[in-house]
Amino acid sequence: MNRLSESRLFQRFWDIAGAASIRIKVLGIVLGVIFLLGFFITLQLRGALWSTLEHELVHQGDAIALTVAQQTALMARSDNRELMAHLIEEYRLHYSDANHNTIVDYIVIVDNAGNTVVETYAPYVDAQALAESPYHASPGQVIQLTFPWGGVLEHATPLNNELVLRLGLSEQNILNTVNTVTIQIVSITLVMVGIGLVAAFFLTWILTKPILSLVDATKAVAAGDFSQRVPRWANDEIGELASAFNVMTSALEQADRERGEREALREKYIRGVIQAQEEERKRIARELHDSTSQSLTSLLVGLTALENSSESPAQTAQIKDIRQVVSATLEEVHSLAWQLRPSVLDDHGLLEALHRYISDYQRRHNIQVDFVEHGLDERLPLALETGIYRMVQEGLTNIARHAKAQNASVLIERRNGKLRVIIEDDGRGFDPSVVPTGEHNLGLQGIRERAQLFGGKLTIESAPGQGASLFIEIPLEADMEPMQLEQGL
Amino acid sequence: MSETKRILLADDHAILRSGLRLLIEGQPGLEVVGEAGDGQEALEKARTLKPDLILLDLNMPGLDGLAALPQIREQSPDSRVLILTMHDDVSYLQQALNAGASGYVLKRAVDSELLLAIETVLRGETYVHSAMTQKLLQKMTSEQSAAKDAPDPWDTLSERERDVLRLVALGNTNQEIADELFLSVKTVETYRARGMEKLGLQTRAQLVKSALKRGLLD
Repeated sequence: MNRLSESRLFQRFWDIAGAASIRIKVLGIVLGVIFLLGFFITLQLRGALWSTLEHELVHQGDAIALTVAQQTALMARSDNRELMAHLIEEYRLHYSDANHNTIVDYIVIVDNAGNTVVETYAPYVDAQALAESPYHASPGQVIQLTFPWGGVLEHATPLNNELVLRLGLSEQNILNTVNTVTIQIVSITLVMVGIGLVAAFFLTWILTKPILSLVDATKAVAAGDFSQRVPRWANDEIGELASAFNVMTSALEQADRERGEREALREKYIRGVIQAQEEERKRIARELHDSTSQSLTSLLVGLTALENSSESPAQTAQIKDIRQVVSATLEEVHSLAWQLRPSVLDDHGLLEALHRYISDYQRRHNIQVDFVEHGLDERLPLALETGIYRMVQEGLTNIARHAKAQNASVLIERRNGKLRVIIEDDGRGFDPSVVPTGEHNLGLQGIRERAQLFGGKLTIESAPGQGASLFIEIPLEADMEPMQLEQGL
Repeated sequence: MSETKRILLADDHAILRSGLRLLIEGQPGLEVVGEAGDGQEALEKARTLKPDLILLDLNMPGLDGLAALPQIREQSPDSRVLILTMHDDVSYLQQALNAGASGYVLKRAVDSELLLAIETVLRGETYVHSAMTQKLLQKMTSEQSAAKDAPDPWDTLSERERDVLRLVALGNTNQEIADELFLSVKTVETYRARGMEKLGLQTRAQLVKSALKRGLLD
């Protein structure tokens, strides 16, 4: 439980600290270290300085106390208190002046019972507090006392068997010195903080600049720009990362280029296959139309003439039978030629061909098809017309095979430099996100491939039970002039 | 038949021409006065022979039948032209009739209809292959029915339904409509279905027809 809350606490800390930028982190570390260092050095130095200075003050105090005690001891014998008082006052002032590095707060001479015999003290000394301060130093001892006006080192030195001299030396000088040194150290620390800030700022700039340029380049690569390279700033780990990144992007660029080449090759191949197929169909259809059909027609004409001139009824009936077979064959050949490639597409264009195809389609499949075109007053390049014809054919064939539809609609629109072909049905629909396998998908795939050959795209909208809509969008270039009609498939 | 009618055969297939000659000359009152293998030849023979009837194939090498037809009519205005072709598309028929043909016979019906067609055309009437007549009528009636329709119920639509249907008619995907109108795809589908029901329409193509008629797409 405790562990858990600790780790939670750490997590919260990291959520906040981890989210800070590298610059803030480095600055934080630098400032933290400098402050900690300054703090502990100050603490340590103050302690050391204090004890050294206090030690020295004790020595000085010993010397002063001894001198004063010896001189005063002479007076004590005569018991001239007035003179004693005068003397210790003189000594107090003498040892507090600028030539001596000491301040004598007070000099008191007490008897063995602790009663004050004579005393002298500096103006700021609180006499009451001094009087109440118990005499607790045994002669020869030094103790530290704290009075309202500050710290005092008190030396107790016996004058003779009855009297003891109490000498109070102020610790004010020590305090001043220590404070001065502290201020100096703090100032130096602050200067160091300033220098540290500048250094950290520069350091993080050096560190983050290549990282930021890597981040930018990575984003560009993610967006598909494989030409990105980042400069190698320094020979450190980040420099290595930059090199590795450059190697990676050039490999990606290479792979992308190869993929593009493969794609172009595949497109070229498909285009070639479609073109060859269309040409072959055209050739066979023409052959059937021009040669086979004509021969069959000749046969039909000949048989009719023969029938007319025949005189035996049995022979006439036989010729009639043969004539009917030839006639049916002629019709089949014609229909075959039409299915392969309707000549009306070449001669009268897409719309006529589609009207005819759709009317045949409705009869064959018992599906009502509405056909509307808009903005197609001029003919399109023949290759494009052929492509659209095949796409509509494929779309409607798909509907007849799979959709179980009652109504379908074909819409061809030219608008804003784009050609949109929409093939819709009210059939059982499918989920376009689930790639259907088999013939159905093959048909859609064929439509998509053809659309892509013209720089277009296929969008499918459908859901089970909702029918299906195929949207084919093909950009029309401004230079699509009838000249290109000649280069048709 | 008061006099023998003179006929010119224009077809690029020699065997077919000889067959046709055999068939036609088997009939009393009909005579084949010449044959042409392409459009250019047909044009020249029409000018020199001035036949009563020209049996013209649409597809011929060089100048094809359809291209030669107006010039033939010009060179020999009294010759009537009967088209004999493989093409059973209405568009060819319309084109031929517009160019001045008097008849249109499909080659596959040559055995049953040719002589009747020749007779009809020579009488000064127009002959069109029966199945083609059907198609032509269908096309004409469908164009007409598109022209006159009951007053459309677009006014009963709500503003949203009208917006959605207009974008549907403009050929947008449901997703595109949803993006443009800041609606969900489901909502778009609902508006669309409701609007279509109000208009009594079933397919997008019908909707486009209706919208075009109303001038909503311009």
